Amino acid sequence: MRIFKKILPCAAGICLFLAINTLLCFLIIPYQFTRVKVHHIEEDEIQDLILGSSHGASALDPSALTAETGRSCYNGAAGGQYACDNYYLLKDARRNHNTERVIYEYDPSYWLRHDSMNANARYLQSVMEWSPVSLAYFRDLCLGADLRYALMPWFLYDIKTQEMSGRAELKLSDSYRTYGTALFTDSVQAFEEDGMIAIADSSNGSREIPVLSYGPETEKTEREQWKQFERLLEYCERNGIDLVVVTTPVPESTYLVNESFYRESHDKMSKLADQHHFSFLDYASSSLAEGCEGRDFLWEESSFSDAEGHMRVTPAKAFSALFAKHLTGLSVS
Amino acid sequence: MPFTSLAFLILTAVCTIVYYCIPSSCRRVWLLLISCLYYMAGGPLLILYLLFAAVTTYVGGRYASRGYKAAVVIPLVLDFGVLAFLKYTPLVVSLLNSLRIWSIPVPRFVIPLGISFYTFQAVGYLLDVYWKRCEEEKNFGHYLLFVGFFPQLMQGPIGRYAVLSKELAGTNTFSGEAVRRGLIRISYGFFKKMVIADNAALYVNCIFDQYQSLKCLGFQGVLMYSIQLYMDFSGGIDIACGIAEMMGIHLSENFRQPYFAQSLTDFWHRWHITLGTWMKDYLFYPISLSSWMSRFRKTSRKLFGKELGRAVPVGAANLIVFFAVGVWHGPELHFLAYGLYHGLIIAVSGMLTGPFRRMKKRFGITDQSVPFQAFRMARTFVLVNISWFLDRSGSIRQALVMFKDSFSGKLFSLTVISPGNPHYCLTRFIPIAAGCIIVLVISILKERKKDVLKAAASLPSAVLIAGIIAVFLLTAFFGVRDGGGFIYANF
Repeated sequence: MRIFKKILPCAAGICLFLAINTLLCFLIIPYQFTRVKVHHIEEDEIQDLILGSSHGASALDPSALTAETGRSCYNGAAGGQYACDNYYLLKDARRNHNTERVIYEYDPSYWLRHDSMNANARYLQSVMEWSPVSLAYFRDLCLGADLRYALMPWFLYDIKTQEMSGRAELKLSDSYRTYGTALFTDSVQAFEEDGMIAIADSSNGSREIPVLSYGPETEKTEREQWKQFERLLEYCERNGIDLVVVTTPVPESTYLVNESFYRESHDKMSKLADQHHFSFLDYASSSLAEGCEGRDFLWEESSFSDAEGHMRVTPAKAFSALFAKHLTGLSVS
Repeated sequence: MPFTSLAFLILTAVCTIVYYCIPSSCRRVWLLLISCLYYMAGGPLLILYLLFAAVTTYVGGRYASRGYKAAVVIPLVLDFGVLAFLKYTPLVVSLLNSLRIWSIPVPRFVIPLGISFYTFQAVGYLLDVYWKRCEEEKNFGHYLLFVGFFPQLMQGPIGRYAVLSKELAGTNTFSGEAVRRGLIRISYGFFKKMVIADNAALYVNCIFDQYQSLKCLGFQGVLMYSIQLYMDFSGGIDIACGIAEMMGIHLSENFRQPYFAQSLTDFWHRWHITLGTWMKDYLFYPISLSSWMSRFRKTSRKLFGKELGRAVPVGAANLIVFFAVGVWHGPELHFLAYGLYHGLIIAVSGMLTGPFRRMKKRFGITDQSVPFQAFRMARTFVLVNISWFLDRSGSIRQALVMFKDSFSGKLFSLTVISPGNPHYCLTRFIPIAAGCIIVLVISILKERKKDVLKAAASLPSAVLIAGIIAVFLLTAFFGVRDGGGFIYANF
C-alpha cells in the first residue's frame, strides 16, 4: 500500500503529461498527405512502389506506369524523405503485402542535406501503424535525438493559436477519418489518388539555381545517405524485390551549373548498380538518358516549377510515359 | 550521447532504478558498466583514452604513495602529452605552415568526450596521493569509476578523489527526498539550457557571425553570450549533479551565483569552481611555494618594498595560472588572451590592494556599504563581459573590432535575428527575459543562504510533478530546433 502511494503520483504525472502531449500534438501538428500515403502503402496491394523525395513525388505518375506495365503502382515518395525513411516505408509496406518492385527516385542533391531534426520523418513515423517496423524506425530516428523531437514532436512546428481550432475540426472530420485528399489540392498542386503530387503547369517557384558540390561536410552527410541506401538495397536483395533507381530530369541550366556534381553522382550510382545488378536510369540530363530522342522539352525550364527540378504535371506525365516504356524493357523477376 | 537525448534519459532512468534495486556491494560495478556504456556510445575506441588516463595515474598512484617522484612525473607527461597532442597539434602545424618553409597537412583529430575534465581529475588524484592528501586506491575498478563516472564525464564538475570516492561507495539507501532533489535539479538544468541558453544563442551566433555588418551590436551580443554561457554551462552541471543526486551521490558544486561577484578573484571563486580550485591547489600553490618563487619574492621585496614586493610574486603566479586556464580552454590565441586578461587584472588588482584600502578609508567607504557593493558587482560584471569578447570571438582581432565598434551606434536590436519577422523575434526574446528573471530570483534567494532546492523538494508531490511537467513542456514551447550541444562539452 505504501509503495502504491509512492508510485501513484508518478503514474498520475506520467498520464497527465501524456494527455497534455497528445492534445498538443492534436492541435499543433498539421494534417499532412504523408498520412494518406502511409495508409495506402499499408493497406493496398502494390506491386511497384515508388519511393524517394519530392522530385519523385512530382515527376513519376503511377497511372502512366500502370498503363504501360499493367502492374499496380503507388507513389510513396515525398519531400523530406531520405533513404532511411524509404527503407522503413518499404518494410512497412512489406508487413502485409508483397511489394515486388521498388522504383527508387535518387535525387543526388538531396543526399547532401543534413537534417538532424527532420519533421517529415518524425511525422512519417508517427502515422505508421504500431508494429515492430515502426518501433525500429522510432529507435533509429529518436534514440540519439533530442528528447523533445522524440517525445514532443509538436515542438517541431510553429505554434499558431488561430489555426488550432480549424486543425482540431479537420482532425475530427470524416475527411480525416477516411483519409481524404481534397484538402491537399489547391491552385499550386494536387494530390492524386495514386500518390503523385501534380504541380500545376502555371505554378512558379524559385528560379535561383542551387550550387551543388561535394565538400568535407557534404561528403560526410552523403556517406551516411549511401549507408542508408545500401541498407535498403540489401533488404531488397534479401527479399527478392526488384530495384530500379531513377534520377528524374532537372532543368538544363541547373544541370550545366552543376555538371561535374551530377556526373560524379551518376558514376557512383552506376558503379553500385553494376556491383549489385540493379537498373539505374539517369534522366538528370538529356545527355545521360538514352532513348529520349525528340523529347528535349523535358529538360526545358518551362517543364519545371523551380530551378531545383520539381516537374510540372504535363511534362511529368509525358516523362512518366517515357519512363514506363523504358521500365517495360527491363526484366522483372 | 548528449544529456538532452532520449537515449540519455533512458540510460539515466534505468541506471537509477537498477542502482537502488541491487545490493550495495554491486552498485559500483553497475555504475562503472553504465559509465563505460555511455562513453563508448560516442565511439567504442574512444574509451581507450579514458583507460589510458586511468591506468597511467592508477599505476603512478601506487608508486607515488611510496614517494617516487618519477611515478608522478611520467603519468603527468603522458596524460598532458596526449591532451596537448590532440588539442594543439593542429595549431602547431598551422603555425609551422605559416612560416612558409613547410606545407604540412593540418591533422584533425576526434577529441574524446570530456578529455580535459577526466585528465584533470585523474592528475589531481595522482598529486593528492603523492602529497599524502588522500590514500591510494588499490582497486582499479573503483578508481576507473572515479575517473569516468558518467554524469560528470562530459563537462565536469572536476571531482576530488577524497570526496568523490566516498560518494561513489554505493552505501546509500533509497531516499525519496534525494530523487526529488535530483529531478528538480535536472528540470532546472533543462530549463536553463533549452529555454534560456538556446534562445540567447540565436542572438549570439547572429551578432558574432556577422560582426562586420552588424557593427554596433557588440554589447548586445556579449551580454547575450554572458547569459548563454552561464545558462548553458551551469544548466549542464545542474543536470549532472541532479542525476548523481538521484542516486544519493553529491558532486561538487561548480557555480555559486558568479554574476554577483564583487571582484574578478571573487568571480573565479564562483565560476567553474572546480577548475578554479584545481588550478589553485595543483598549480598556484606549488608555484607560490617553489624555491624559485621564494627567491623571486625576496628580490621583489628588495626592489618594490614590503607591500608591493609581496603582491608582485602572487601576481606572477596568478598570471601563470590564468595562462594555463587559457590553454585549457583551447588551442587558439584568443583563449590565451582570455586567460591572460583575467590573470593580468587579478595581478594588478592584487598590487593595488593597499592603495585601494587607503583610498576607501579616506573616503569613508566600507565593504559592507550596499551602493559600494553594487558598484563592485557592476564593475566586475563589465570586466567579465569584456573577457567574453575574447572567449566567444573567432580571433583576437575580431574581439577587438567588435569591442571598438560597440561604441558606435545602436546598442540593441530585438529583431536582429530575423529582421522581417518581429513576432518570431519576440517569441525568442521573451523566454530569455522571463527565464533570466526566474534564475535571478532563485540566485538572490541562494545568495541569502536560502536552501531553494530543499524548499522545492518539500512541496507536495502533486505540485512538484506538475512543476516538472510544466518545465518539460516549456522546453518544447520555447525550445529552439538545432539548439546545439553544450558549449563546455567541446573542452
